[in-house]
Amino acid sequence: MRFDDIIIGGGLSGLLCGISLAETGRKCLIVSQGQSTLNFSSGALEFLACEEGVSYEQALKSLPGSHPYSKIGAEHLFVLRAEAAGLFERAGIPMRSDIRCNHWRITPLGVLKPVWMSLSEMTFFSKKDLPEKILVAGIKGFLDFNASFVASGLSEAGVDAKVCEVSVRELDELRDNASEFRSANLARALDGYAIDRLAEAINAESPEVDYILLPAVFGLENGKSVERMLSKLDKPAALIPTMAPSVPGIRLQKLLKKRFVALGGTFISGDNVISAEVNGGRIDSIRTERHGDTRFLAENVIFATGSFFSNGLKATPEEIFEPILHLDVDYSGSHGDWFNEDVYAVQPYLSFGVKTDDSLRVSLGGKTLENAWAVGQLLSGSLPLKSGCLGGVSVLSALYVAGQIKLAAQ
Amino acid sequence: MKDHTFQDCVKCTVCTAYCPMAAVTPFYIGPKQAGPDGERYRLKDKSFYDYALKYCLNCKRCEVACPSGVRIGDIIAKAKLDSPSFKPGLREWVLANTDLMGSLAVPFSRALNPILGLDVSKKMMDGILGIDHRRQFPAYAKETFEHWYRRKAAKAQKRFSKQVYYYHGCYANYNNPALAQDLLKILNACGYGVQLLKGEKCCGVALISNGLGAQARRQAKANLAALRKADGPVLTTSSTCTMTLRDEYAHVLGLDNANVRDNITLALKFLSEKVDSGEIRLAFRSDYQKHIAYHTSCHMERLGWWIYSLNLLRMIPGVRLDVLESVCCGISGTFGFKKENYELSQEIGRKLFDQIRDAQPEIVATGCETCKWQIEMSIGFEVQNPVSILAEALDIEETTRLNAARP
Repeated sequence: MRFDDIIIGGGLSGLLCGISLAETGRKCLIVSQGQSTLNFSSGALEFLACEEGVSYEQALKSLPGSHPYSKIGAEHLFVLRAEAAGLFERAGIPMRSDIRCNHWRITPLGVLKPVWMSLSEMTFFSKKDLPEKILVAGIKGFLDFNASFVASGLSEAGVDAKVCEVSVRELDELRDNASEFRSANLARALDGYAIDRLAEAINAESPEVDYILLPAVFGLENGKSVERMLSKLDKPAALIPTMAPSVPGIRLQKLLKKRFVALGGTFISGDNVISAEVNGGRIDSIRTERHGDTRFLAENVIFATGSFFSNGLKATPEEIFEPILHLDVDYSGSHGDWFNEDVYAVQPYLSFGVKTDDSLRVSLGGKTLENAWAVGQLLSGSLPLKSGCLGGVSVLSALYVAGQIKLAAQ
Repeated sequence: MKDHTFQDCVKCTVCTAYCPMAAVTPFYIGPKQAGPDGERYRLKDKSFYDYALKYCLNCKRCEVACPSGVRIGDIIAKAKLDSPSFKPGLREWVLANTDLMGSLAVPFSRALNPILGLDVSKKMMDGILGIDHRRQFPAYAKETFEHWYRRKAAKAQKRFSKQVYYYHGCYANYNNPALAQDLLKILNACGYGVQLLKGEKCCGVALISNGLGAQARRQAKANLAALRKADGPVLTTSSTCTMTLRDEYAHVLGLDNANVRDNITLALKFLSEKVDSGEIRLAFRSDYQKHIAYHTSCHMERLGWWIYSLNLLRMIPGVRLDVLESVCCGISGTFGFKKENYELSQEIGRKLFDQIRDAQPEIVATGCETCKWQIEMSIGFEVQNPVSILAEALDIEETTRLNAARP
C-alpha cells in the first residue's frame, strides 16, 4: 500500500506532523504502537524555561548547538510557533498561547511553571495578574489531586489560598472501588446535572475568593463538560492537571486523531513497525507486526517514536539503540555515566536520542538517509526537564519537518 | 503456556480510559485491575477478581490502547477459562454452540425463523434460558452455504488455474450464505477458484468467551488440522473468526498455530493487495451510487485490517464514504444476548448509534456479523459486509474480462 508520507508514532509529534502534511492533501499513514504519552500530559506545552518578559529569541541564545532548537533556528521557530497556534485552531482545539514570551501555569504542587501554549481551560497567567485569593476545590476521596498541595505551594508564592472538598452523589458508586477512583472515570460520571451540582457546592465555598482552581476531570471526549463547569461557577476558574491518566491529554489525543482522520489520514493503532527497507540511502517501505508481509511504501518516513518510555529508544547495560532500524544514536560514556543517582539531578540519558543533521534527517551507519526524519522526543540534544522545552520540541520539530517535506513537494 | 506480558504493565490505566465497559458501569474494575493486576494475585489463587471477569467483552481495545504491549484482553480471557467459579450453564452452551444450533436450525428455518421472532418465544427464552426478550435472533438461512456450494458451485471452481480456500465460519454458512456467494462471485471474476476446507468447524470464539475451554480446544485442533491441509491461502469474511484463528488459538488456548497463521487472511486484505500490486483489476458499474458509513468492529481494530476495506470501498466511483470513529457496538458476540447484559450492551453501543444517525448513510459497512445484528436491531440501518457491497458495485462481466486476459 502506497502513501506519500509514513509517520511512525501517534503521539503529539506524529499527529501534528501528520495533520500538517495532510492539510496540503498529502496521503499519510500513522502507525502507533498504543496510546501515547499525550494521554499523561498536562495539557500545557512549554517552549523554553525563561522569565516572563525575556523574549524567546533572547533565551534561545543560551542553548548549545546540539539542541533541536539550535538546528531549526530562531527565525523558523518564530514562524512555526504561529503555525502551531493555527493548526490547533483549525482542529477545533481551543488553546491559549503567546508566541513571544512565557506565561505561567500552576502545577499540581502549586508551583508556577513557564508555559508557552495551553488548553484554554488550564491555568495561564501573567505573573502580575495572579489572583490574590484562590479557592482550591478538591473532590472527596480523589487521591490523584491533592488540593492542600496546590494551596500550600501557592501560599509560598504569596497567594492567599484556601481549600475545600466537595462531592456529588453521581460519584458515590465509583468511590466503592477506591483504586479505580481515577480521573478518566470521574470525567465520565461528571456530566450534565452532576456538573451543575458540583459547581453549586463549590460556589457555596467561594464567596470570599476571586479565583477557583479545580482538578482537570471534565470532558473526556470534547470540551462541552469543561465549558459547562466553568460557566456554572460564580468566579473565574481554571483546571489543574491530575495524576495520570490525564483527561485533557486524552481529549487532545482524541481530537488531534479525529482531525488527522478527517483530513483523509490513515491511523493504525496497536501495531509495531518491525522493519524498514533501505535502498540507496532512502527508506522505500516499512512492514508492521500486524500487517505481516504487506509493505507500506512512502516518499518520506518520519520517526516520531518518542524516547525510552515510548520505546523509541531502548537501553541495555551495553548500548542505547533505536529498535526499528538501528539508526545512529547520540549518547556517550558507559552505563554508569548515563544516569545520576540523585533522581532530581539532571539525568544525562534524557538528552540521548537519534543523531540528525540540521534538517532533522536521520542517519544510518554514518550516512544520512535522504527521506527519513526524526521529530519529537526521539531527537537528541535536549534536556526537556531542565530546559523546559518538552512540548515545544515535539510540536515545532514536527512542523519543521512537515514544512520541509511540503516545500520539496511544491 | 503462561502469558508474562503482565509484568510489562506500568499501571498507567490508559486501558481503563479506553475500555467501553468501564465507561458504562462502575461495577467493572477495568482491564488493568482485571488483567495484569489481577494476574499477580491469581498466581496464588485462581479465583481472584472472578466477579469482574464476566464484564470483559473481549473487545481487545485495551490491548490496542496499551503503550507497553501487555496482552490485557488475552490475560482476562485466559483467567476466565481457568477460573473455578466461572461455570457455563445451559444458556452459555446454547449460545456458544453456533455450529450445532445452525445445523439443527437450517433444515427447519422456514418454520423456525417466524417462531423465533414471536413475542411468546422471546418471553420463553428470556424466562427459561435468560436470553433477553428484547434481542432479535438472526434469521437462519433456508440452505447452508456448504450445501449450496456442493450442489451449485463446486464443479465450476475447478476450471480456475488459481485457487484459494475459504473459511466461511458459522454466520456465512447458517445465517447469510449470500455473503459467501458474493465472495465467490468476486473471486471468480478475478480469476480465482474457491475451495472449502475439509472439516471446518466453528472458530470457537463463543466457546472461549462462555467458558467452554475444553470444547474450544477440541474444535480449534480440528480447525488447525483442516487449515494445515490447505495448499493455498485461506480467506475469511469475518473479522472475529480471523482474529480467533490467528491470535486466540495461540494466545488464549495455548495451541501452536505458527505454521498456518500467516496463511489465514481476510478476503478483503487479499483482494486489496492483489489490486494494489496489479495482479487483479476491478471494473465498477457506472450506475452504482451509495452513501456508506464504515464501522470498524473491535476485532478488526485489533487486526488493524480495516485499512484494506477502506482501500477497496474508496475505489468504487459512486461511493460516498464516512469513516466512523472506531468504537464498540456493545453486543460482543453472545454477551449482548444475555438478559443481565442487555442494557449495558445498548448503553455501550450508544456512541456508535449516534454517529450512524448523524451520518444517515444508506448502508453501514462492517466486517463483523454480530455488529450487524446489533446495529440493525437497535437503530434499523441496513448493515452489510464490504464484500457484499463490492460484489454489488462490481461490473462482473468487465472484471472477468479484465482478469481473464491476463496471464
